[in-house]
Amino acid sequence: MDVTTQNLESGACIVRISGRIDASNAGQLDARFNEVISSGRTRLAADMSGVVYISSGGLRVLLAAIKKVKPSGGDLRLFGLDPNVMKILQLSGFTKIFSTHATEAEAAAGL
Amino acid sequence: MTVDFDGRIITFNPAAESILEINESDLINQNYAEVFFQYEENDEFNQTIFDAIYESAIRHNAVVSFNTGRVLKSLALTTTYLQDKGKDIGVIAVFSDITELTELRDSLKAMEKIQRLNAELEKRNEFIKETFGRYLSDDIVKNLIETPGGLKLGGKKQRITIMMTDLRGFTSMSEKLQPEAVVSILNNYLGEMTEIILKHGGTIDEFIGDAILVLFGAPVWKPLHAEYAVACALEMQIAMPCVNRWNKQMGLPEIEMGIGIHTGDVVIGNIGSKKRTKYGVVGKTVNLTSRIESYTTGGQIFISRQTADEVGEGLVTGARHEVHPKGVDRPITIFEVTGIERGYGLSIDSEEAGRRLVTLKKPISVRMAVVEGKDVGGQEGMLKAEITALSKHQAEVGMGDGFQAGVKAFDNVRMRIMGADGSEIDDDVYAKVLETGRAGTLADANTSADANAGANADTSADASAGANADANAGANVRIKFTSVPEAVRGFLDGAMEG
Repeated sequence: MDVTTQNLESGACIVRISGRIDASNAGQLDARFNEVISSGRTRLAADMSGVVYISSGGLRVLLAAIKKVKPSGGDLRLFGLDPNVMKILQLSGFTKIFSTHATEAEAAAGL
Repeated sequence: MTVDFDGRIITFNPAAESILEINESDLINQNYAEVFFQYEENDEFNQTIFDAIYESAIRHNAVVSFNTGRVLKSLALTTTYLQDKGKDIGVIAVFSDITELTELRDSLKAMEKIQRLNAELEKRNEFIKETFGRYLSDDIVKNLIETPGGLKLGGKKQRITIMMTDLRGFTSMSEKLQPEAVVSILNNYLGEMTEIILKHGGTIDEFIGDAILVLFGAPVWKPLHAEYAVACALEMQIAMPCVNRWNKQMGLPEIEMGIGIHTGDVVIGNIGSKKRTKYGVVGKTVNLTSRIESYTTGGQIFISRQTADEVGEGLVTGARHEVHPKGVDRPITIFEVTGIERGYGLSIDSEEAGRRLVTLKKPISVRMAVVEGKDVGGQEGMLKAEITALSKHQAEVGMGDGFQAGVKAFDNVRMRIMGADGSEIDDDVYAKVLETGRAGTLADANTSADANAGANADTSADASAGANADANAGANVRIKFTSVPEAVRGFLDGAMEG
């Protein structure tokens, strides 16, 4: 799994994730989110286009991140979702918690 | 339980309610994540449901843990991807509570673990037994393993029988052998003897080189300790031809063993410092046993009067000797044991049986000296003498005028022998003096010892009263060889045949 971040002029931040998010690296992803959030950036969009698998533990990391940014008016949007990953988000009810978008532009709009 | 792709739980039966401890009514307007993502422990449960999506073609079975918020349960969970007429519906999860089963399995595992640990412990004890058991008797090892106090220092006084065995002439023999040969002779010999000793309830206190110190009646008290010791000694002597057969097969020299036995009080127990403790004995009895043993030649068993008295009836003895060991106030009587009845039916030939000597037509010139203690070095002090009669193991030696100091029974002597070409064979022969007498009286002498002297027999009837008698120049001595180098052996064998 690889994670890179890109700060936008708007003050939002794109978190690009690629690879499998599983038990072995969920902690690593959690640390990156905490890093970004504690640097003051709470308006986030996660680029999931390179993610083909996310485990239950990985979902928990996303859930924890959005719980941190929501109270201060922030958000965590997801875009570029793989069909299987999308199904997981739907089944687990995550699509009710996260807004999902097809493209980066769509996700960044109004963030 | 069925979950659809809106994250809603669309079926949730009473069994699911009771297992997950969630009321169906609480699920209304809740999505899956809010209910099932509360606890990290539920990751496996969730993952098995997601697996049905990632691999929708197969059914997924797993044993997972589930935190209800109250307890952690073990669930057997099966998840299946649900389609209806080509339309994706969601995932069905069927589960049962196997917490009790898991606990049972865990306790079974724990039980297995205990059994395994027990087996390991047993193995370790077995190892200790095998390691120490090779040297110590089972009794001592058992004592060590089973009684926590068994390792405490200290001891008690007890009347026991002590046996000391030694290979006659082995030290000088081993000097001429390869170390490997010495070790293989000893291992074979000690192995055979150990078995016999343990069979008779003896406790091997220690091996000191080729010597064995054996206790009878300790650490486990046995009333018949003296009898066991004597029977054991006889069987050990009887086993020696077997030991030597093996030696011969391996191209190793033959060995001979002497055994001394004494009965008396000893202090017995764990003696030593905290770091190195040894179960053992101390006391005059131990030293005297060793002295008694030193009077033997190969094949002989000497016991003290105390041991003879303790055994009592059934003991068969040969010659009796009055000896005065160093460090002992007055002379003591020792008995040569040739057998024991009392249901053992063990017997060996007495020393007398081997006394048929061949008188040599031409005496063999020798130089001879009495060996004082263990100091055997040097050529000085060796005086001229001659062998007048000979058998495989014994010889009669006529001493020259130089033997002013006298030679007594049980003295150890060292000699050099003139070979066929008239020059001395450059190797020491060791022998022990069996008896002394006037020239010509020994080779044909009648054995005056009673074959069955009995434990309480009078000491005055003594087969070889010469123990302390002066043997002046011109006297003859009968000796038994204890160590004969190969070169000498060949020469003596030739001389016997004439």
